[in-house]
Amino acid sequence: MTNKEFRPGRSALTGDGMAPGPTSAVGKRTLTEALPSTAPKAETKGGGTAKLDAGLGDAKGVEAAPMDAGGAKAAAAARVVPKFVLSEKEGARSNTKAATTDTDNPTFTGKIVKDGGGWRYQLASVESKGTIDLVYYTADHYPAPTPNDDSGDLSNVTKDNWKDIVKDLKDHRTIVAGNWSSYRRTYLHEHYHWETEWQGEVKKALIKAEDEIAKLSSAAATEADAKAELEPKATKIFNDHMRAARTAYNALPDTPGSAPYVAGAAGVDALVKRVEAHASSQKW
Amino acid sequence: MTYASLLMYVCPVLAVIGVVAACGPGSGSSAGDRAKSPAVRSDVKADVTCHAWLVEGSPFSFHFALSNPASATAPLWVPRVLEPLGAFVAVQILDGAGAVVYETNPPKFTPKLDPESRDAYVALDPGYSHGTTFVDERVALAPGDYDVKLIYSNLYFRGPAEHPLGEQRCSTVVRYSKR
Repeated sequence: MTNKEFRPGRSALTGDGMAPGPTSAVGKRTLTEALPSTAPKAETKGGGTAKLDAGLGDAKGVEAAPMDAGGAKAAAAARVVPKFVLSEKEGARSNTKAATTDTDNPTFTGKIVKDGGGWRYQLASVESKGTIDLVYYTADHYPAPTPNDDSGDLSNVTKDNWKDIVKDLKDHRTIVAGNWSSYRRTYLHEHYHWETEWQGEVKKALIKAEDEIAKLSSAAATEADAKAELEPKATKIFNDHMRAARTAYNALPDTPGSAPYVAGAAGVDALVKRVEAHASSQKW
Repeated sequence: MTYASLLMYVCPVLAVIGVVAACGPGSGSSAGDRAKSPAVRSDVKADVTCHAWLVEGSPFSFHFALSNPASATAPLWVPRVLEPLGAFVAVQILDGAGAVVYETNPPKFTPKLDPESRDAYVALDPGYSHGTTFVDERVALAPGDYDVKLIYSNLYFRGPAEHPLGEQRCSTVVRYSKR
């Protein structure tokens, strides 16, 4: 019998629940309304290049493009450079708990721009937040236990265990670690998720969203009316594409041998070389 | 009457009268569902039941547990590590109108216990359970009444070769009043 003891928690408010089925209507609702869509203060100057007012944060958020007379093509060509905000933390060491990469739903700000006799909607900024929680093994699982980057003294390497360490580390390139691990492997693996996979999918989806939003137009009499008309449409387009980005991201393989493991293998390889060189220098 | 057939009759009644109770397996599926679509359900080899309790205070926390029904005839294997939140256990919070106001996104995570290893699992004898407490600091709800739905899947933790588990799924709903 190996079951874990049941913990009642601090203060139980309610009891067990019964689940609705997986096909229930509530289970299929989307999160469109959960993504904020506040319009920033912004203005159009000169040839129509978007410039952000203070308060938006990064004024370099929009890559300006030359604007034609009508402005329609420019609206599509003025690409927003998404801002990716990563919170990286190191959790308590654990030999069972996993390191994780979490990504929040991207958010945007936008504005109404004059386009000839009408109005268009243009994204002003896009932000995507993420969190990497680096949960390392206990120090006895690392050949160089301190600092947390495999660069320290190989104080856990001995004449008797160095071959086992090398074998474990090499195995660790493509499978779940055995007794020995590499800090850098974990770091590179999780950062691959964030930088290559997540940011890559968001950027691809954002181009599609911008192109689609650029096609929106309004002949409303006032800017406020145009905003009321266009902003909900732009919000839906943005959210639909970001949802597609998440679907694509979730579908990327994260199993032994897949790209994130390959990315992490670079850290393992470097450590293997260090251990082998150390053993050689010690004439083991 | 088997446990599954009992649930088939009891769960819909409990749902109608608003009583929350644990029902499994398969995200609210019933034995009747399985009988009607065996091809879809054939990979569900284990009856696992979800339980949850919200923990008072802030940040938003809940205790989640998987159990092997007391009426089961054999031990049930479940993943030993149920974290991170959003992976094996996902959260959906619905407001009074049934709209989803919050849900977890599935995180990328690198397991330290090999899914092919026995060490990655806990064997639950009939009537026993296995769980952990989750904390979700992202939840920010306005005052009101909500349904918190917790959805479990064993993902690719399908057991070692000598003890295949198949797909496990269950879910549970806990009422939550934010004041």
